[in-house]
Amino acid sequence: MNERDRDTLGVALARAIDTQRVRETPFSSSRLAARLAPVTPRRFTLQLAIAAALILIGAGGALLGQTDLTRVSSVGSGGGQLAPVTRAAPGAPVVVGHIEDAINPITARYVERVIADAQAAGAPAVVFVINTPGGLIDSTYRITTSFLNAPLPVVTYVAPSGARAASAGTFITMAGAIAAMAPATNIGAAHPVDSSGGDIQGDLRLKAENDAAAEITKIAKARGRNQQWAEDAVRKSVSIRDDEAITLKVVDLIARDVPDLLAQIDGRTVQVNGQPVTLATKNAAIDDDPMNLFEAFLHLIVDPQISVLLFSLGSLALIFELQNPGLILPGIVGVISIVLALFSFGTLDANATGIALMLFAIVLFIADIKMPTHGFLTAGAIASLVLGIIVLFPPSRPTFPGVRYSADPFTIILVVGAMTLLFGYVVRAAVGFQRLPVASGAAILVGSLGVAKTELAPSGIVRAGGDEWSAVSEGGPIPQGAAVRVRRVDGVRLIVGPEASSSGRRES
Amino acid sequence: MNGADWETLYEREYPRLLRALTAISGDEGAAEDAVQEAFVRGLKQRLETLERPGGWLLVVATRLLFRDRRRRAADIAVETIAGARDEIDFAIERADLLEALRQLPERQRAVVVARYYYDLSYEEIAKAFSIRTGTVGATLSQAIGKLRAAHAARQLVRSAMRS
Repeated sequence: MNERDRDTLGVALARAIDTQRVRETPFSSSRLAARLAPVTPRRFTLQLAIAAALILIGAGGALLGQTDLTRVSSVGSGGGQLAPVTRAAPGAPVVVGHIEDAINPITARYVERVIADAQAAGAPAVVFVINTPGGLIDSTYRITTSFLNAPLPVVTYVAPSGARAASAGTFITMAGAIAAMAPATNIGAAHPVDSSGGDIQGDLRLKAENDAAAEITKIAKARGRNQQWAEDAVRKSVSIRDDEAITLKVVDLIARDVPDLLAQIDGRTVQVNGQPVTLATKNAAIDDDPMNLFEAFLHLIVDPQISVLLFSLGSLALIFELQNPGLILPGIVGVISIVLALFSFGTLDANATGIALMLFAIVLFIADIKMPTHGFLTAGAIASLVLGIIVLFPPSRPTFPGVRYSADPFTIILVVGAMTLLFGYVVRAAVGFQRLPVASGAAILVGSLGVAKTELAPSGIVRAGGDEWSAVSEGGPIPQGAAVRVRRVDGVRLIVGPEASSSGRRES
Repeated sequence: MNGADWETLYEREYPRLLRALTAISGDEGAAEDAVQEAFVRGLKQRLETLERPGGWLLVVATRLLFRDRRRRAADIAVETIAGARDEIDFAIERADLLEALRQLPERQRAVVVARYYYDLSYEEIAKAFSIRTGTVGATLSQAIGKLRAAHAARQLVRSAMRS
């Protein structure tokens, strides 16, 4: 065989090898890069910064929880002094709320929201249907306070048959301007216990008991109910049926259902913030106002069982993240879970929780610009922001006209959308612009003409773009001095073909 | 040589090296393993002092490939891509050539790739594979002969199938 023949096959072979498709592993994920930089210090610094920021947010949140800025956004006190009594709008429906399951901060906020809604709608009265085994004392006092100061008549109604207003429910029921019970319901057993249901011992017991007794007698006195029984319900944990409650003047009447209740209370005069208001509720329309989706979700979250689960999950996730820095997802889940758990335990109030979650979202958005993490950061930021806004400004039902004390879902979507767009797109694009690869080097030679300085058989030297390059011909051997066209750039080699000889390509 | 230099070297040499090793081994997974390891070896070997790091990497990666017999026995199917219109003929020929290459013993494949794809000299190849310079020439002659025969046979089959 002759040399030329052998070289032709060699060139074809080289070309065949060179055009194989291979998976190109970028340098950053190569073993070499891993060996060169076993620990990337920058990323660690960033993680440390995030951790520090979280601790600060937590501390800030706790402080906020102490000072309690809350009332700024909520309803209870703001309008109360200016307009102690709201006149009912003619034909407005009676608003019916539901106090069910455990009493917790979400229940309290829901009650305030329903009263505000009813006030805004000009309702003649607001009825709360009560069926609860009890709950947190702080939240209970918040509810009774808002009942006693409500700008419109508040009717409490233990229903349906079989329901109970136990412990905290006793306080709440007795705080209504009118208190009613359905047949076969009971009320009482209001002795304070610790949050796991266990007995409180010693001085603390005395303190909690006396405090609760003072509170309930105060309520009973304000509403003209049986103060002695109220005290007994706290100190001796007595519990009574509906008929006994009437006899003992604990509640005012027995009603089969809400329409029956409204018919019975029609024409009664009650005291609203010290002024007499006559109820006109006969045949009034009923506007049922249960917890909305967000409130129901939060009510579930603050269940003690859930809060323990959240806390465990959060701790585990944080430990997992610290052991494997850079996974991101466990870290985000951990922080959100712990913040929600602290909210659930009552350590953080709604404002602090909302602000902490929103700040966390902003931290995540900023981190998202710095570190590419498959969208975990963005998703976590969005989740955190939405949760934060929901906790801080609970969305109300959008059907009520009048003053709004909460963010409506549209606003939330708008804010979250704007934030996501701003950080996810605009800022990222701006930062990305600074990192554009330099458009120069050998790549700009592709398509340009050159001259073979040596024979290309198949490799040699080509002069192109004012420089000499080592080059490989993929169109067969090219004699010295012939014109070539640059087809591709492979590293520092130019891959060229003969110019003005289209048949040359099929030579091999 | 610092990290940035290594990155430049890696980006310049990696695709070519991986293609060469894939051609030799017929298994991209094994090839990638050897190539990645070769770069890591370079860290200890003061690669910057070498005149042609590409050639050195090829030799090291090939040796690693021969030593690590972790390849799956079956040759992977040669991908026959349906590329841009006028590239199909070339794709077929490439598949034929690579298939023919795969018929050779692995050592011969390595020598062929080193010579024709990496342009190593007979002396460099001889040194790399610990054989005499004359043997390189003989091996190449033999390999090219077999390649041509296999290639011609396949083209014959193909033209027979077409007609």
